[in-house]
Amino acid sequence: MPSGPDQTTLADNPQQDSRAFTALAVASGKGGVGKTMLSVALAYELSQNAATLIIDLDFFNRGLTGLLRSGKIIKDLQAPNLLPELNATNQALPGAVPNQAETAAAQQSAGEAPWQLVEISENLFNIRYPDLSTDDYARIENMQIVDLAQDLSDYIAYVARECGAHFVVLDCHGGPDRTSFAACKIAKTTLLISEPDRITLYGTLNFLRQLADAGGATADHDIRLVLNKVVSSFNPPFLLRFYNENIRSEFANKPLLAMFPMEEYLTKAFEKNALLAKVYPESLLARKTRVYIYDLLAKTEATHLSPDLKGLSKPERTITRTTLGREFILLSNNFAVAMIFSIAMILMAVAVVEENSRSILSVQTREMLRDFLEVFTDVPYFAVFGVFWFVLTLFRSWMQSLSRTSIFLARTGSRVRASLAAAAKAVVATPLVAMLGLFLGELERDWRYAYQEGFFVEALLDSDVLTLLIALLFCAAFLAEYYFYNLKRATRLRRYKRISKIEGIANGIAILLPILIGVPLWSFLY
Amino acid sequence: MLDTVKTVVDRIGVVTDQLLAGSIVGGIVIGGMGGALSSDDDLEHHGVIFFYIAVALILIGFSFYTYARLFSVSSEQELAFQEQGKDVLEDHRTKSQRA
Repeated sequence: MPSGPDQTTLADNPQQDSRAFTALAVASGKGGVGKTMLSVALAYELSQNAATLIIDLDFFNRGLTGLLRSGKIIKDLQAPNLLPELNATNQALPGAVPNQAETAAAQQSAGEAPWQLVEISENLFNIRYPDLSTDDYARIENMQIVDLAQDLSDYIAYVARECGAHFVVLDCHGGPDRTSFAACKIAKTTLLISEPDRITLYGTLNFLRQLADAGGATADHDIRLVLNKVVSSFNPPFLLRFYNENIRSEFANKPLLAMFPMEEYLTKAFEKNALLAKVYPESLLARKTRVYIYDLLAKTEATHLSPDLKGLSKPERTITRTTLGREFILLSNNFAVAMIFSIAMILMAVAVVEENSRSILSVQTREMLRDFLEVFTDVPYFAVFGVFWFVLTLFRSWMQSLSRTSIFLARTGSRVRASLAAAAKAVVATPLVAMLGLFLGELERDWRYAYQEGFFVEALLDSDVLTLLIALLFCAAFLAEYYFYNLKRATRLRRYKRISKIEGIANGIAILLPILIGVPLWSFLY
Repeated sequence: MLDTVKTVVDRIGVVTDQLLAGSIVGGIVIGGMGGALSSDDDLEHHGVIFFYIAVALILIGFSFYTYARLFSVSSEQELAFQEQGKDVLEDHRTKSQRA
C-alpha cells in the first residue's frame, strides 16, 4: 500500500543501539517479484549455523504466514506494542519479557488466536499471528515511521531473545509502505528485489524515492539491488553492464548483490514446500543465496556463518554469482529439433528440384545435386549424428525433470511416489546405457581381434572406431556428471545423507548393470 | 561512428540464436555440397573451397554468437530493457531532483 512522504526523519538507526540480532530486510517496489521465496531461502541458509527468525511484515497479504503453516509451536508471545488492542495487558516497557499467561488470556478473551513462536526447521523460527483488523492496519499505516521502527525493533529484540535468534529476516510488503520503510531502518542491509523489466524497475526506483523522502536513505543504510526472475533471454554480462552503467549510482555505488534466474521447477515446488534451499541445495536459488550471504556477512559475521558457507572458494563464488543457468544452446531440445527439421527440409527441397527440373538444370548440375543428396543418404553419419543429438537432448531434459521430481518427493516424505519417479528415471536411462554397453562390446571384440592380428593402432584410428569413441565419451561424461551430482548432494545434506547415498548407489547400479550385461551379450552373439 | 556500429550490432544481435542456427545449417549444407563436388575428380578443387566456406560460416556464426552474448545485446528483451530502462531512470532522476 503506497504512502506519502513522512514528515519525520529518523535521526538514528534503531539497529545501531546494542541489539544482539542482525536484521536483513527483503523489500520491493511492487508485489510478485519473489520476495518471500528469497526471504525463506536466505533465512534457511542463515539458520545453518545460528538461530534465525523470519518475520512476515506483509500484514496485508501475509503470504509467508500462509506458506509456513506447519512447524512446532514453541511458546505463546506477547503481541507488539503497536497493536494496543491486542496487547491490553502489556504495561511493561518495550522489549520487556511479558507475562505470557496474562497476554494469551487477554488475546483469547478478545476472541483472537495468540501470537506464537513456531520452529519451522532446526534453528529457524517464525512468528505466527492472527489476521490484523482493518483498524490495526490503518493504525500502523498512520504511525510515524520513527515510532513504527522503534516499536518493531523492540518487539523483534524481544522475540529474538525468546528463541535465541542471532539473525532476523524481515519479509516486507510488496510496495513502498511504512512497515517496509521501518524494516529498512531496523535492518543492517535491505535487499531490494526487482525484475529486469520496465514496470518493476519503475516500482523499485519509486521505492527508493519514497524511502529517501521518509528520511531512510541515509549514508549508513545499506540498500542493495537483487534481480530476480531473470528469464533466459537475459545474459549476465548484459545485466551487469546495464546495472554498472545506469543503476549503480542509485545504490551508493555498490555492486549488484545478486541475480536469480527464473527456475520454473522451484516456483512449482514452492507452493508445496517453502524450504526450497533445503530440498534443492544445489539449485541456483540456494547456491546464489549462499554466495550473497558470504558477500554481505563473511567479514562482519563470520562466527555465525556455517563452515560450508565460509568455505566458499573465490572461483566458486565468481561462477555462481555470474551464472544464470542458461543451458547451452546445442543441448536445447528446441534447437536440436529445429536444426534437424531444417536440414531435412533443405534435403527434401533439393530432391524435389533435382527430380522436377530436367529441362532447366544441366546434366552436370543434376548429377551434382544427386551426389549431394547421396552424401546425406548413403553415408549414415549425418543421420546417426542427428538421431544421437536429438536423443541426447531429450534424454538430458527428461533425466533432469525426473531427477528433480524424485529428489523433491524423496525429501518431502512421499516414498512410494519417489520410488515411482526413480523407476521412471531408470527406464529413461537404460536404453542409452544399454547402447553404451553394446558399443563397448563391439569395441572389445574389434580391438581384441586387431591386437591379435597386429594392427591395433590402425584399428584405433579407423573412423568407425573414432565415431564410437566420441559417442562413448559423450555418454560417459554425461552419465558421470549426473552420478557425481548425486554424490555431491549426498555430502551436502547431513540430514538426508542416507537417502542420497541410496540414490547414488541405485544410479551406479543403473549405469553399470546394462554395461555388465551388454558387453558379454554382444561378444557372445557376434 | 562506433555508436552506429554498436547500434547495428545490437539490432542484429537480437537474433543471435537464429543466426547461429542459420550458420550451422548453412555450414552443413555447403559442406555437403563440397563433399558432393569432391567426389568428382574434375571438381575436387571446388569441393575444397566449399568446405572452407562451410567451416568459415560456422566459425563466423559462433564468433558473432559469443560476441553478442558477452559484449552486446542478444535478445529482444535485452534491447527493450536497455531502451525502456534508461527512460525510467531518466524519469526517476528528474523526479528526485524536483523533490
